Amino acid sequence: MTMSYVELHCCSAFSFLRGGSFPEQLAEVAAELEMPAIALLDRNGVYGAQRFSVAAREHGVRPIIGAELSMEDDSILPVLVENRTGYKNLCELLTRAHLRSEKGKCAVQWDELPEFAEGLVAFLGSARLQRAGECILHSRIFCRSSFRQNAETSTLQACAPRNSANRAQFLIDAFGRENVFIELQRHFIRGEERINRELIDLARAHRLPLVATNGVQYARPYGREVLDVFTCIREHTHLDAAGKLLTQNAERHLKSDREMRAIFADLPEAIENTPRLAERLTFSLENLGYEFPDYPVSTGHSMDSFLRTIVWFGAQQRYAAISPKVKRQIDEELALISKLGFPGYFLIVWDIINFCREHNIMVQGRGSAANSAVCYCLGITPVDPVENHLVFERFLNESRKGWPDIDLDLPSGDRREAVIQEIYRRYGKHGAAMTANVITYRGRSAAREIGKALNFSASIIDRFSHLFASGDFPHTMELEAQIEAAGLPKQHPRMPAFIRLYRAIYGLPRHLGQHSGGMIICQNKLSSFVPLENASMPGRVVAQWDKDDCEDLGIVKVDLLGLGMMSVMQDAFELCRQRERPDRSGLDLAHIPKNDEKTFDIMQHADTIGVFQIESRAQMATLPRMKPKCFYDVVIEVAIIRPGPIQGDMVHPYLARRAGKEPVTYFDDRLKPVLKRTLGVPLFQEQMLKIAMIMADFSGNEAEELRRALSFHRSEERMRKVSVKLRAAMERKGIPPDKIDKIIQSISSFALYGFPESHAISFAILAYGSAYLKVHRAPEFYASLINNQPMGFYTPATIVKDAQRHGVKILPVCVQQSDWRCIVVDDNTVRLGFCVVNGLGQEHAEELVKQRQHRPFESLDDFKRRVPFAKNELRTLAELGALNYFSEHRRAAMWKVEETLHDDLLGSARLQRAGFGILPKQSLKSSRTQDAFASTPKACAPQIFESPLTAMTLPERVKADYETMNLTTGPHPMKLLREKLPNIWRAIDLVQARHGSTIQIAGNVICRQRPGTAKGFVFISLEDETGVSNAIVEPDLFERFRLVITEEAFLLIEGQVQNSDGVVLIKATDIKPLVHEGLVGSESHDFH
Amino acid sequence: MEGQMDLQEIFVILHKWGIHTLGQLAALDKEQLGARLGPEAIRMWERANGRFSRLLKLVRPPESFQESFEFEREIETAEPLLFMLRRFLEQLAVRLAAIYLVTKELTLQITFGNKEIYERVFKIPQPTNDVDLLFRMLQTHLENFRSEHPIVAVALSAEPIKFADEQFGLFETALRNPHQLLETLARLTAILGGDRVGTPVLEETHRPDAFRMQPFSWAAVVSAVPSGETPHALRTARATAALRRFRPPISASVLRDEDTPTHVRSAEMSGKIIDERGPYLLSGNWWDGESWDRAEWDVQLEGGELVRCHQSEQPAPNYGVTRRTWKVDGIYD
Repeated sequence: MTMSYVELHCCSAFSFLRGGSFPEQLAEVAAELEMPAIALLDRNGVYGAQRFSVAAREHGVRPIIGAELSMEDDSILPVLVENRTGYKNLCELLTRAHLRSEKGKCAVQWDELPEFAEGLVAFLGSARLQRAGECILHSRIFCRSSFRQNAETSTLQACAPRNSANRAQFLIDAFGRENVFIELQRHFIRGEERINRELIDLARAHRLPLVATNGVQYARPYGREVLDVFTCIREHTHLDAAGKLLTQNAERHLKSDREMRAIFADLPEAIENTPRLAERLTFSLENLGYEFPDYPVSTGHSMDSFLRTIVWFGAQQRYAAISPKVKRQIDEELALISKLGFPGYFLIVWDIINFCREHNIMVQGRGSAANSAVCYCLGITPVDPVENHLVFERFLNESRKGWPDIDLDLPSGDRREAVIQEIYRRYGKHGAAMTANVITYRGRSAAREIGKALNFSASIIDRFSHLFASGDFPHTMELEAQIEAAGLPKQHPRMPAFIRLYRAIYGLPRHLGQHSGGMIICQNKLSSFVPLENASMPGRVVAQWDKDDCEDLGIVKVDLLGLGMMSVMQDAFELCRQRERPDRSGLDLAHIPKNDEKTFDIMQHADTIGVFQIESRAQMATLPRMKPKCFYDVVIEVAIIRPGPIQGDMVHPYLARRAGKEPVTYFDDRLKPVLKRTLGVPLFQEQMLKIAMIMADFSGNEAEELRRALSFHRSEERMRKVSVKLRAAMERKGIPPDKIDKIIQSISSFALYGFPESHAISFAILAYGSAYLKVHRAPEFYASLINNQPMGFYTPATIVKDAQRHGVKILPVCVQQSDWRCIVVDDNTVRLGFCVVNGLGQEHAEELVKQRQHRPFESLDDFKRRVPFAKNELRTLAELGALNYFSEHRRAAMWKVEETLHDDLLGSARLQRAGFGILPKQSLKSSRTQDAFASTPKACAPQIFESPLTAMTLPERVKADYETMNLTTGPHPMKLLREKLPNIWRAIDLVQARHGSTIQIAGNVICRQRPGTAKGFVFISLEDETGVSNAIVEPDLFERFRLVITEEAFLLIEGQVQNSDGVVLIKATDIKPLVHEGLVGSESHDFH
Repeated sequence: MEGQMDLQEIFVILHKWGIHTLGQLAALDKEQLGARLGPEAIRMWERANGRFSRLLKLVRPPESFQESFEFEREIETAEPLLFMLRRFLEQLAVRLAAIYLVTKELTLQITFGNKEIYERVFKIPQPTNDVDLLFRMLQTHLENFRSEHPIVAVALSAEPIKFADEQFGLFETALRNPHQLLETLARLTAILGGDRVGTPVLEETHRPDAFRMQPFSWAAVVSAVPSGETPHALRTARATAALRRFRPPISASVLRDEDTPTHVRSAEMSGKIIDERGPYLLSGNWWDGESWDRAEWDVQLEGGELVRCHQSEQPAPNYGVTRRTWKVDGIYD
């Protein structure tokens, strides 16, 4: 019996702009064509290999892995992996080529091939005629004269084999004769046969076997359109101009055995060789051989015994008295950890935690690790799982295949980077890497690129981007209508192509980014398991797989997530410590009082601007209804405003039950113990798993499958499969269909964003902690919040106004007082730092502080001489009033900074002797300053000068503030207008508005939101001098005022008051831009 | 000074200083202003203070040579239109002649009742103000002009040029009568349509023999090879034998045995096919209404002729080889 043809050369969209299909689509079509195996060879990587392998196995097709290597002379060498050694060699070869080039570039050197050739099979002569823009192996081979010239003039190519015969011999020498095949492709293109004939001659001459491939770049013929568009994107052109860069026909799709045999009827051995070769290529990603690093322990200890020792030591610190329950839990956990072989993992995470503690970096474990008493004892998590009745199985159970998931929250910025760099240092550049994050084509990016390729006018593309700024809004408008609204008539001949392409390209990979915090490490070289490459961020190395791929392959990941709020809190605690007094001690997260009434009070009144997680508009709208009274209420509050519960229609039942408006009921009485804490409403992932275990008798294994489906938001398919299983199991147990529907619906809603209880607890700790700081250490809190911008939901302008409303005095930037960061002056006052000033160099500001500490500035001239600010920086400082210390008013300083200083050699020499770092300049005019250098470093009255300019008015000052800092310490712009807007309600007065009455509100737009779960409704938050008011806009009205809403900085909204449970919302009926000559700053849109 | 400031920069600074009027600018101290904003600011100050005078320069607005007319009633015949155009030409000719200019290009704009506008540009090979000649050109064009909607307005504009006697290069020759050529072209365009008169230029596409028409040019001969063609592309497309193309390709009927052509019959040649190469599949322009799709074959007939033929269906948005029409593209020499 003859064996069926195997396609041994496919590129997927993971070849980034060189392939038009998902790897899954290739696997699916291969299965339809009854292909026994299929090989994926993406360009310079194995980016899609794991997804491809999973999909292929699911479809009963054996996956083969390989890659197309970009060689130093721009030719392409396809290689296939035969065994584990080959895979290791491919990964290391690719890593080496990637790491010596900048991101996105890779060139393998010919002379390094022999070192990595073992276990790999090479193809010579893949025919790719139609892509004139790309130099392929054979096109070099057959253009000998030009190739020789190039090669001879380039020392780089000295080692490159210079013609086809040489190249064949080179590959035979490097890979071995049995591992080199001559690849033939036929795409019905004029001229390709001539090349194929020469390749056949070459094969005969070197006694090499032939192999037929179709050089697949898309699964089905219509993928050619995607490929043509990708070519345009890659070559920065459009379809009308691309000409011969485009493909000639649509023949590079997967073809059946029958089709390929017909095409190669004259060369049957080329077809027969494909299954033969495929049989040899036995490597599978399933047997990767990955090992997590061991933790070095002292002699006399094994990792098990060492872990046991430190856990019990930690338990003594954590628990005042170790209860039998705690002891039992720790014993059980340790036994399981030991049985599963994970002690090394816990020790390494513990080690990272220790590094953070030693270097004063705040760290907190989150995720399911919070369910573990061992993690609590090791100091990884701050939550006691025994006290909080958390389910350990959610974290670790016997049936679980992968590694446990420990996520560490770290302060964002430099402190997190220090931890990441420490891990690189410990495990080496080839031993640790960030996981990848595949950036895909989404609504706006897809539409933009397709629009450009179809040669639509820039105005249509821009208008589309403006109108649909945040991408996909399928709720109110079909794609056709969206593009029509952007100015393309429905009958446009290219409209069908646009729609087709949009659907085909949506979701395809665009480029590789790095995951925000996922790091993978390895016992041996990580680069033996996955190719590593440089990230665009200096000092970062990124693996070619995303976190889901790594998890699938059992590669352990430690998530080092940067949280702005951790940084804020650490800074705030630091400021508290600096200001420690006998009557008021320092503060840290562990010692914050847990039941502080004032803290719950601001939450109940939704006064939570700046507070972690519960500051968003949606959270603020829920807080007055939720009225948190204890810590667990905050946990629920954090979890309740998520896409999951909203989609599952679960928020309102909980709130209604909490308010006593609805009776507490359960899907089934058996679920009472599980759902009691959340009043019968499932809110957490743990509850979902328990429901499945109780109602459908799911085993630990099946529950694990459900957990993976819940946390795998990329796969609806996975969720659907689990749902079918769940339904069948419940039906078998005789559960009524209506109950089954309810349970399935509530579980499916978690597929998009599952929120584990332990995770909610970790976040609630930060939410509560930040709210406590806001109430009790407001200056420290606000100063840290401004210092860590950008972060959170609000701009610094809104934070400053919130601080002022809370009685905190915010002092402006001043060159005699400010540091780079904002500082706390007293219990009620914050001084803004230079960090809020636009376009001011940090090194200049720090030099200023250094100079000031050495000796105060005596005059503006003295200041200008001693600090190397650029003219623009000086202008900015003068404009925002930072130089008012030396002048009557801002404009006087602006007049003065334009004055040019003249050098004085004598003065310079004296200054240099005095040891100043910067070459100072000395004014010829001023004899006063000569004396100044001799003066001792003590503050003295500044020299005030006069200027012919008039002082700024108040509105001018506010405008200048916004232009230079995007915030103002002065009055809110709306306050300046208030007298002229008599009929407009202030935010603070809205609670008194009658439900159903029509009123007008106005203010600076601080937030526009169109949540995917809100069926096209838009929420707008307007800020005035008294606070924030919220409006809701119906989809129809939004479409009418789309541009006004998305583009205007100040809005006037008329609408009906909806006042319920103390939450006031204006349901908009009319929206106008607020245009007034007195409205400062609006012209430049700085208020965004 | 750190380099001289430009006017825009000075304006921004003055604005921030609160200097919004000439009076405010004039009130500043000249030297101090100059020390801060440089010589340009001094010039501005002098102007504001009346210390600087300059001669006024006469600036003529560019003269527009355009005549237009809105008919009181919609017109449906050519006579009133031609009458108006003749009057326009006479006026334009007088105005141009008065300033020693001649017409090198005329733009005709006709507005219809449904607000649509028809526009046509006439390039004059030998610039002239000869009203009869120009009128004949417009008349010829309008002879075959048809529209579904009545005309409500007409406009004619002339692009002027200085009259100059032309001196040709040693090997260049002038057209014997350029105006006649123009008239002939206008007549041809009127009969054949604007897209069928001009110089054919090969398109940079995989579509065989695709070309577009460029407006006829008598100044220089344009190379037939598009400038974007790379030597590499030429090399891969090279053929061992020259193809003598039939333009347009000749319709043919082809008998096939399974997928292979076995017999071809057409007006130019017929016979049994004894050898063949193909199909070579080509398709393109899938993104709009111009999509095309063809399967080419090179066949050898009994009589020894080497023939290129193709099978196509248009428009063909699908990707398979369709069984519609066969055409013979040409014969290899």
